Amino acid sequence: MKKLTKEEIFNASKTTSPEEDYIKIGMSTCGIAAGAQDTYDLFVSETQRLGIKISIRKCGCIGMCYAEPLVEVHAAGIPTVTYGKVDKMATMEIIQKHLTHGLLVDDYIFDMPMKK
Amino acid sequence: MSKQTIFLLRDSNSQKDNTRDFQILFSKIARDLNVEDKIQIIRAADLGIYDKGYIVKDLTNNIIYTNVSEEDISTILTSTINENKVVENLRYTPDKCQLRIVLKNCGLIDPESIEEYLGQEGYCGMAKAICDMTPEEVITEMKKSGLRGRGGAGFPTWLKWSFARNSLDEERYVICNADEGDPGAYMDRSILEGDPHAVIEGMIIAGYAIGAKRGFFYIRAEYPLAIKRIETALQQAYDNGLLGENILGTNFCFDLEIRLGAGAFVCGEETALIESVEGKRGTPRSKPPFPADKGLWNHPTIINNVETLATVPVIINRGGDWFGSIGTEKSKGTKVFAITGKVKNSGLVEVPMGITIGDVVFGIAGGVLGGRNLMAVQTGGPSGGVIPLDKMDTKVSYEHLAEVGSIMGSGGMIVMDEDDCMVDIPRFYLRFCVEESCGKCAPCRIGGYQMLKILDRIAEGKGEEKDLEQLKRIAYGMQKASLCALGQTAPNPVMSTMKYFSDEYRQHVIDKKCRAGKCTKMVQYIIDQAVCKKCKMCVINCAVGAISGSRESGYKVDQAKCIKCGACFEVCKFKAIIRK
Repeated sequence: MKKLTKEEIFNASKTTSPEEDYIKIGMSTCGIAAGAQDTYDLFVSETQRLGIKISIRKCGCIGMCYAEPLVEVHAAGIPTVTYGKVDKMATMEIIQKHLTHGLLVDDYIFDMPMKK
Repeated sequence: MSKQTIFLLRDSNSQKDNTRDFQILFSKIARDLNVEDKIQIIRAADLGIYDKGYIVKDLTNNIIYTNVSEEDISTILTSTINENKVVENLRYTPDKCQLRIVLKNCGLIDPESIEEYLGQEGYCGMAKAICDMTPEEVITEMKKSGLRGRGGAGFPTWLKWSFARNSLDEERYVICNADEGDPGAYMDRSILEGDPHAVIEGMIIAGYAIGAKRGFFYIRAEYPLAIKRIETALQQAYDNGLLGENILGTNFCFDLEIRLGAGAFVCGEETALIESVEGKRGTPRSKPPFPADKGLWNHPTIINNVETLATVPVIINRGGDWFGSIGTEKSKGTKVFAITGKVKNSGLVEVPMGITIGDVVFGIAGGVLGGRNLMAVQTGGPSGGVIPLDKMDTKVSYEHLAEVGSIMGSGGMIVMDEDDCMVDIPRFYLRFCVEESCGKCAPCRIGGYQMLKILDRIAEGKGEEKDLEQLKRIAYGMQKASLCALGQTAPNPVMSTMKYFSDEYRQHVIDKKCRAGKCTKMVQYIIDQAVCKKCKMCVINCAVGAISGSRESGYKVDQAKCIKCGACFEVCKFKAIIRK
């Protein structure tokens, strides 16, 4: 495999690709223990079944352990939100409302103030 | 679809949740004003703000309003939608919030993809260090940052590095201490699982700074996913030429390997860890010589905690002065805490040093579960102490926590409410330390066991006043004479609870009573026949069938069968069950 050079490392973070729609699911040990694997599988199978084109990614622990499994949804036109305690019901609601109609889902949004 | 303004609603009152009613009212007013097509009104589960009445968050413009009354709704709606203005008198700007430096990538990037890490300024710190800086400059930068070891003791990182750097021995090693064993602490695991490349990058920089060619990850085998992700990340780093021979075309060569620990608490102690990496039984060595002088295979070795190493790349990339500007005079930067126990929002938080414990527990973590009263906060795990309610304005920093008799530790923070017994909690920690003691030195092996026996006796109601003095004597001996930090710090939870809750100890010893009802040998549950409504809830909820009787004759607890679980006490709506 090609070895990276210093310039490539510095340029990697400068080239910004246009954001595509995505779903990110917290898949650390804590998330998986709370059922994130099932949520992930359900998102994959349901979006395939309905023909929704969206990339489903895994990520680490956001830190809100009390609200696992956590799912971040970024879809064009509406602000990115984080859903918590995403079980089977919530997954179906997110797919039907958020992904299909651009409406947020009641009672599952966790929005914490945070500095980066 | 036209652009909509999205409002998130939440009732932040901890007693009763009226969010649903508020949403109905909000929708009604929106309908009356004829703006309902332009907005979405959504109930949020949590907005991270507590006890500030009704909260409305304009998600589209990222503006928060608190203490919103019914009259304010139309003002908010009209000024936001028609005039594009902000209602200043209701606006709320959260000041006590998290600052993410170490955890900046956790939950943001895919930990199994090096491309995503590179996209977040990944490996920039490393490239800067090994291409543009001399090892001495790297250490100077670390000195400027003022970073201190995040494993608990708070030793200045740059100093440790310069000891190894200045050693005459040419063969040096870097070890990442990922043997996280404190009960209730898991920030290292989250960093390894969420951002493994940051730790690897930190190790490469450390290796370059001290002139090492090899490094080891010491990870406990209980973290299978962390091990898997580090393995993947190491492979990716090798494939991209970030590890191995002549990194980025320089003369610097560095190799990393993983060593697994079997999960002994003592192996988190650096000399015991070295023994374990060498393949021997994990028992501590006497210090000095310190590992930076004679460590792994008697060569200079630096051992840094996961969190410390994950902070290094950011410091090099953004500069030591930037990092040094955050925090207090002697404690710089941020600290990750794992908040657990009786708290509403348990989880990981990263806060700048200098914030108060109260702000972390009440402001960020949402306060005590079920609106109960806070009793104390325990920091530092089995080596730390408790911080009582009246010391909640203690600042989070190495020196301030030491002042109140606790330690920063690796970052466990356990919240305890009024149902926790201040004799039972230290007993739990002490038992943990006794079980995990390696047995090499007598003060820890014998002292810990004897202290535990005394505490057991007190909890059984057989304690005497002289036991309290005896506890202090043994603790002093352990603190002074134990070989490693495990034994030296094991009495800390007992000592600090004795300091702040001496009344509770005396109550156990003299009155033979446990306020919280946790010391089961001293507790009796009795049904007050005058108050009892014969609802049978206690009978149904008793797991061992200790409550018998009938509606006519009344119900009674059979003390011989009762296991003192307190289930009947909890379920009785009429407070007819008395705890004695």
